Amino acid sequence: MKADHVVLRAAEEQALRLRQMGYTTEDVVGTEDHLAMFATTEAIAAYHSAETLEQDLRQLAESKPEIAELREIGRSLEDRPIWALRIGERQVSEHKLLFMGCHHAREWVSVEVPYLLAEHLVNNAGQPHVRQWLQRGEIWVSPIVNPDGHEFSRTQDRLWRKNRRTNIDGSIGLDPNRNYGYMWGTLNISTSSHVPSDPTYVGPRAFSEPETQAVRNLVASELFRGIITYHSFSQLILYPWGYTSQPIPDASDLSTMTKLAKRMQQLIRGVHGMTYTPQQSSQLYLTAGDTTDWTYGEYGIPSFTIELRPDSVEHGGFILSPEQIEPTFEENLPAAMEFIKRIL
Amino acid sequence: MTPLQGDDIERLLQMPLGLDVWERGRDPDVVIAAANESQISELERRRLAHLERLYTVEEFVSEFGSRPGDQPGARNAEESDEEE
Repeated sequence: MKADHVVLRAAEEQALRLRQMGYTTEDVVGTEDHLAMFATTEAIAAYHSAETLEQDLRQLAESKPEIAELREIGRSLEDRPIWALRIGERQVSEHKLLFMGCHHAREWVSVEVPYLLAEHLVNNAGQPHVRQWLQRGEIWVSPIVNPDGHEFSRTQDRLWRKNRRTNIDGSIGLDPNRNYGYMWGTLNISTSSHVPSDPTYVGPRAFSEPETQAVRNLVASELFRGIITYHSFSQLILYPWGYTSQPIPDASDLSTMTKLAKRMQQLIRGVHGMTYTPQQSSQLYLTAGDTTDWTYGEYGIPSFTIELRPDSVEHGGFILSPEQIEPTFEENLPAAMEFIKRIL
Repeated sequence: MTPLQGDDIERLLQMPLGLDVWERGRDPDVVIAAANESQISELERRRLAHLERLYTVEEFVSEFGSRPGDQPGARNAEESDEEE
């Protein structure tokens, strides 16, 4: 913002409208040129695309077929596969956990942490504690729930959040993390909106999207004992509810989740000294229709949203430098292991 | 965004303003959001909050897209050399 002009991003029709209103416009830089400035080769290479994720998951599965199996749990609106890696020795087990990533397209590190967790489990399957888990049950990892949005953020709009649904008003996308069925649509606010062009648009109905249907169907068929869904940013460990400021009414469940969240906080801090704050999801802001309200509300299972690095816009917000991927995983690994140990 | 005197940031967040909320600061009365000019104008016109413009989207993406890691444990060439 300057005294006599403002620099903004606008589509051609928006620029035309401004000129019709009497403003003078000047094209400063096109999207592609701008993309070339920020989408450094290093960042693009360091973070997974939907395609490279499939390659790496497939390679993991092929490296240890006795314990790792790649499953297509659904297909996106643009017909991309949504993958999950099932890790475990038993073919039939009631002891199952799910780790997910990338509901929101721009949250690139939320792909990497669950992927690296899967890689760690497969490559360390011979370690006593991991072997014990994989003999007892199954750990499922789905690093990209929203592949269409993720690809769009890699190629067109780094800060894209939603999926790629064409809405009734012609706008694009709804927020997959507002499309789940528990208390879906019960709020109409900035952070959970019924306006299709808004970044937190909840969709026309619960589970309207193939991406959320894929997760719903997987959870319904596997009946997980707990889930962690990774997001970025803010360094938080969130538990239900998101739709209300009231705490969950079951004191035992609340105690389980708050104590585990606190323990995960301690373990994360012990690695690189970073603070992740445990809190009820609604303390961040109210959300209706998110993943963990649904998994807890529908199935009563311990459910966490972990907002990864960084802690603030000042440190990059959604644009986390590639050098941060490894330390972010390193600090979240013991928290994930503790979750597995306690809940599996 | 910060609330006006006597007001509450929660009230702002519970209005259907279409904001892209990025961060709830350590101070719970501070919210960082992305917004277009018409949304900013509306917030100012209706005197809903104090606003401070931090970055344009392009400035933000350009700055942080090229900035190396600056938080604990971040790997860079210098650190790798030191470890060796």
